[in-house]
Amino acid sequence: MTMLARLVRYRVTVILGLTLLVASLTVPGFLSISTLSLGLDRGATIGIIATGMTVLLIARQIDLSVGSTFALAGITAVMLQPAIGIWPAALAGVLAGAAAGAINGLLSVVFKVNALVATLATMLIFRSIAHWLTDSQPVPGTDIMLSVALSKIYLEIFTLRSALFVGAILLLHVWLTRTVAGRNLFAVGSNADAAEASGIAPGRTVFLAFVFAGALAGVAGVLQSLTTNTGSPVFGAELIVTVIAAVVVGGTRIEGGRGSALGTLGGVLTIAALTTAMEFQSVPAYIQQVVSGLILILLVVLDRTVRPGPRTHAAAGASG
Amino acid sequence: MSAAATALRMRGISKTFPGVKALSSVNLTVEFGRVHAIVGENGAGKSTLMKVLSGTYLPTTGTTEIAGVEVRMRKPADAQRLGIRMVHQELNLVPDLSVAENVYLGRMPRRWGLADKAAMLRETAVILDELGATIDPKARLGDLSISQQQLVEIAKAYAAAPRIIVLDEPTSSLSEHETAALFRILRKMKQQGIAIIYISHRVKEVLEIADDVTILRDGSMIDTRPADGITVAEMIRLMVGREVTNVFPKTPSEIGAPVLKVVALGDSYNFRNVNFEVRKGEILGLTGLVGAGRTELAKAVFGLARATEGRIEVDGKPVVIGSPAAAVRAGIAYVPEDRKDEGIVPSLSVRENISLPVLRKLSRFGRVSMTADRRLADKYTKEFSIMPPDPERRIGLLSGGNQQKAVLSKWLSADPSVLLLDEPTRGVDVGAKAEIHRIIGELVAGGMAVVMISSELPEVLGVCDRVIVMRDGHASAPVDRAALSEEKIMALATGEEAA
Repeated sequence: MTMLARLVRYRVTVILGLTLLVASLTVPGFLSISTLSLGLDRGATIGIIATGMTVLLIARQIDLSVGSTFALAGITAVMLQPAIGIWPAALAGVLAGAAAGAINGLLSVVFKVNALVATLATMLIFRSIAHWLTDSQPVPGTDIMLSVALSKIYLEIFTLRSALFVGAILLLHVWLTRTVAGRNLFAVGSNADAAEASGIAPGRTVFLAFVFAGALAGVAGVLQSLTTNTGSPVFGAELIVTVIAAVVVGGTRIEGGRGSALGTLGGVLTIAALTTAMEFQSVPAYIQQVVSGLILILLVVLDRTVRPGPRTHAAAGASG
Repeated sequence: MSAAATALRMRGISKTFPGVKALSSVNLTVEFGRVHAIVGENGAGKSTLMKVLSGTYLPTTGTTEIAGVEVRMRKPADAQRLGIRMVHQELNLVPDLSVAENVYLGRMPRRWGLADKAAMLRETAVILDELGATIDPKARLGDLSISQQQLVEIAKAYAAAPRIIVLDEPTSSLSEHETAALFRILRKMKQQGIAIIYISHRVKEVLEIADDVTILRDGSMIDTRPADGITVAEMIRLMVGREVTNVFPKTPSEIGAPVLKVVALGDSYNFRNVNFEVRKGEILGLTGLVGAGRTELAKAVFGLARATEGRIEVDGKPVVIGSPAAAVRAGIAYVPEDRKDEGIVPSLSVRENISLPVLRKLSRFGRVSMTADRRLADKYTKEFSIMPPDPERRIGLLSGGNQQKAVLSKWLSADPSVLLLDEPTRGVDVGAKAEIHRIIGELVAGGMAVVMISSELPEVLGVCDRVIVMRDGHASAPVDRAALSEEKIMALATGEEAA
């Protein structure tokens, strides 16, 4: 039982390790720096969005619109390039993402719309705006050389994108575990009434969580547009499922109150490694989804059935 | 007396909700360094008054002065800044954070911009030690028992070094030992000059700890007087507005053949080798200190937890109970201790809650008969005088006593042969308590067998035919009503021989 409980506790690490092991045995040269670098870069987009989603899920919220926000931010960043220049346009793209998050936050905090419903609606709306702005056509950027520069590999493994992802995860880890605001986030997600009665403002916390998630979806969208030199209204249409899967595989509870940044890192890497390995083996895409789905179910079932120690353990010792 | 010596002065406080006047012109004066009890039945306005004091409600009229300064509190944070701390009856803690983080929730100490975990753990250990609680500050709060969580809630309020501390039914989940420890700490806080507002239904406790008593009834203040020279009977009379002669009346009933028999039952952790039988028409009391294994035993009998050894017989036939559904089929019903989490579905109406276990009975060809459903709810609402008498009201909006009556009637409609009650009157006021006892009395008179878990000794002594006492997972032999006394039960519960 304790062995199993320990395995469950570090399940992300175990699953990631197993994935890497199987991949290295079946895919020749999988553990080479260049393959890992590629996998990390491919995971970075999901990862940056998942970083924001981790915060939202801990706060017992969810944002289904991140894929649409991703597209909208990218389009903003590309379409404004001729008018205000590349970097101001990129900033505008990120701000567009934050604004989208603010709209979601407003709906769910001020107008008390359930986050699932509110962001389902904005998912459709943001996506439609993206099509409308672009006439449903991809928009090219002004500087094609920039995408080459952005794909440059540093320290033999990091691209700008993957470095940003890992940096964001580490910052989030410190914020969640060590800062007062981070601990308050768990309180809000676990028991909002208790948090409020203790003088914490749950509404403000939740609103800022939405803005944060929107801004990070914006960052990912802008990076995507700059590296492809294209803003497209269909970008990120299927991202949301993978993002939520990565966060949940990482041990963050969809019911709020529990989760970790390093877990999300593990979840993202697992999914990235799986995808990369299976692509190298020419496994069809739909089989890849089946495997990801099964791993997700396995982890959640383990989480629900194996508890680290009986609930009343401490109680029995104290009052006997 | 100078104004500064008065901790709290509320004048003419009224609070009106659409259609209801919850408080009408209440005055309350509380001095520093005194324990001021507020008593009253459920619905008397205690909670509303305390919500005004904690900044949750803005009063419709009236003024509040803290230490002589008039204040306006719009949210809980305002009240906290003024040094007012609440210990809620419904626990207000965060299950997913550690004990230490809960104690410091909303005011965590910082060091170089980060939460100072070391300081929190250190200080929490000191405070818990002062409170006489053996709880690990690092433990996840959700893993603690309810009584331990209650102590954490008290530690949380105390740690904030408040000027005024409000305790709402603080002992409802504490054992007698823990209550004594709480009273020691309250006396200490009193000496530190803290003003203590103590809300309780337990009249005896109030007289033991309080210096002053304010009685509320129907949203109005009836009287404030020193606790000296007021008797239990007088206080109850003021609370209910009538004389209540016997707080725990016993309805006589005819005792028949054994219905439920538990043989050598154990879960190899919380309780071991438990034997007892309950007979038709009998109330069997199950008492002991909190954490002695009573609830776990009841849950195992009802199939909510797994027993690893022993067997259960109903009407002389062995039954296998692997789930609550199997227990209900075997004729066993269970009313849990944690009403909010396990007893009711708060978002459903009283009617829907009552008919929940019997929907199949009420339906024909898969369609629930609304007429039968309504008739059932109407019947129980009237019979148990559930207030307000509106079966369509959301049950979450009812007071604790009325919720409990609805939970009881829910199981009555299922017509079980054995009813397991876990702390059926916890956090319920005197009037509703008597009514719940009357209902239980009627049930056994009708031939049901009842197992009642209770920590309240007067209740156990007053209501039960036989009592078994649990200690560290072991059950004593049943003690007959005639041989019972508080001393005898405490001796069995603590393992100390009575002198």
